[in-house]
Amino acid sequence: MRYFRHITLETPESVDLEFILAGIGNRALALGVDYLILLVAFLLELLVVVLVIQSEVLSLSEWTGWAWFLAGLLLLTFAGYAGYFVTFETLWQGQTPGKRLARIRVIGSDGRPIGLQQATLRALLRLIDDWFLLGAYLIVLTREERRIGDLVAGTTVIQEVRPAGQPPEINPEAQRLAERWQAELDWDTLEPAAFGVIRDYLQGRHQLAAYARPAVAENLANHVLDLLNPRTRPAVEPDIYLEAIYLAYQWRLQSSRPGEQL
Amino acid sequence: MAAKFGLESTSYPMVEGIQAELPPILSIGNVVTVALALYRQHLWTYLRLALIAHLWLLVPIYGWARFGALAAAIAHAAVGELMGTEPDLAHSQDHCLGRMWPLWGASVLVFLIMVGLLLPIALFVAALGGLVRIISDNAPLWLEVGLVVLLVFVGVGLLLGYVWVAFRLAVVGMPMVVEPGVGPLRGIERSVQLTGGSVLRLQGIVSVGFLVMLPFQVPVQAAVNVIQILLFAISTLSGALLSLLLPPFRLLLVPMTVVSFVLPALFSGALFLPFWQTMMATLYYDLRCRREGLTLAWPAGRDGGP
Repeated sequence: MRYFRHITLETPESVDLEFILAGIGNRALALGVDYLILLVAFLLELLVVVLVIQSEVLSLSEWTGWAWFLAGLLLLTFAGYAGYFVTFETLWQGQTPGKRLARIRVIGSDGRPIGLQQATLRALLRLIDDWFLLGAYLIVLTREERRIGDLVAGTTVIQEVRPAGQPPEINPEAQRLAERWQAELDWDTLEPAAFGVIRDYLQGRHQLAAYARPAVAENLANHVLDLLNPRTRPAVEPDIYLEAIYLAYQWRLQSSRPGEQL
Repeated sequence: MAAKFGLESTSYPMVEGIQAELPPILSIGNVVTVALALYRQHLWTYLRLALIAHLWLLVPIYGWARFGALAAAIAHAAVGELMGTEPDLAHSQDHCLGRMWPLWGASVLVFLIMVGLLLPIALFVAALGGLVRIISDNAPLWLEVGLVVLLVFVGVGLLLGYVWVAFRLAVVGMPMVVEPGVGPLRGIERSVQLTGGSVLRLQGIVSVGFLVMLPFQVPVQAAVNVIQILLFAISTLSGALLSLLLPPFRLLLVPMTVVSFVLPALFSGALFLPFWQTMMATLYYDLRCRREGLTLAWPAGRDGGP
């Protein structure tokens, strides 16, 4: 892959795991979302502080009293800032709300979820990485995309593996056709790669624009027709035709190699 | 190919060579990552072209059109690479320079649309403000407050609507250089078509793009400002001295001052232009995949091309 960097990690059991690194875009998105959440929390904190001061619950007349109040407040704010990342990354297996949205995850160098210690190191060094922009340079320019916090804690940020899409919806008519064709057609002429394209279409077709979808379906159906033997010409919509081909091909695969999911 | 299913084959060309390296659709963050990777892989060639493009900006009209075409060439080369063709910036340059005036016409059209929208919006806001003022005279406080809140909502709504229109017109240039036979009007139509239902995503992508550029923009901007001040000081001092010795030299003072400010600004513009062009290319590519099934092409013997 040229657009995304990869990393291979070795587990304690000496198994090599390959991951796609998160990339600067996903990490910036995650950071932006997390900082928005923290900004809202900070504004709420300010509001509470103003209300507390106005209500004069605290009778801080002395200068030192105010200094202590301010110091406590600063400490609390920092604890909230670091605690947000530490808590989420520890409890959500390396994810914060922003990272969950961006579908990325922090893992240890052995490929395992990170622990409290690693999350804490990452959160503390965030001060240098985020506020002095150093993290951004390291992520963009280095091969393993590790910011200082990652280097010290021995962590890596990776893209989450996308779970296989939902099986496509199949029309009952397509089901009937598939049952008929399963025996009739010679399936060896249809390559697995072609089947993959049909599956991709059936899974993603609801996202296609209404003006483009008929042409895409028609195009695929025509190509399938060219590949099949005999070239049965069905009097059905391209979508139903493709669903039937998908289903029949899948049944055939499952009967030849039981247990394997495509 | 003759339509076997009774549907006419439309002109959304399928593309040769599926990029197995890219996932079928790109998430918000991945669009930005891919755009930056494209720029990094062609850093010097893209930067060189962007610098030349920015120098053309100094020439009115013709130079501006040429700037647009050269910028489009970067996007054309980038999208070609995403679609799996061999990267060839020289070809992209010729290709886009051949469409220089239509491209410029399209950007003028988009500009006119955006300015033209401002006029009715301004009139509407002015009329509404006047109305509110008349009503709120001698009105009870709750009504006054209510009207102000209403005005704020209307204002925010109008702003969002305006930005929404701007995003629908975000990729006008791309179909003009990628798809055959697309002129300015069809380019606008295609941009509106492609961005349908994706405005929020596009806004997310552009925001992340700005966030990613921030760590680079800040030092570059600082350096540019320092250079501007230095150049300004040098040019005014030396210019003043020279014009004491040679009075006609005084005529050069103003141009020298302008140049000392404009040149560094052009340089920083050129540094970031390729990123935004590869962003637009990646956006266009991703919209074509999502909305028009670009990568749902047949693995062998696909028809058509960009």
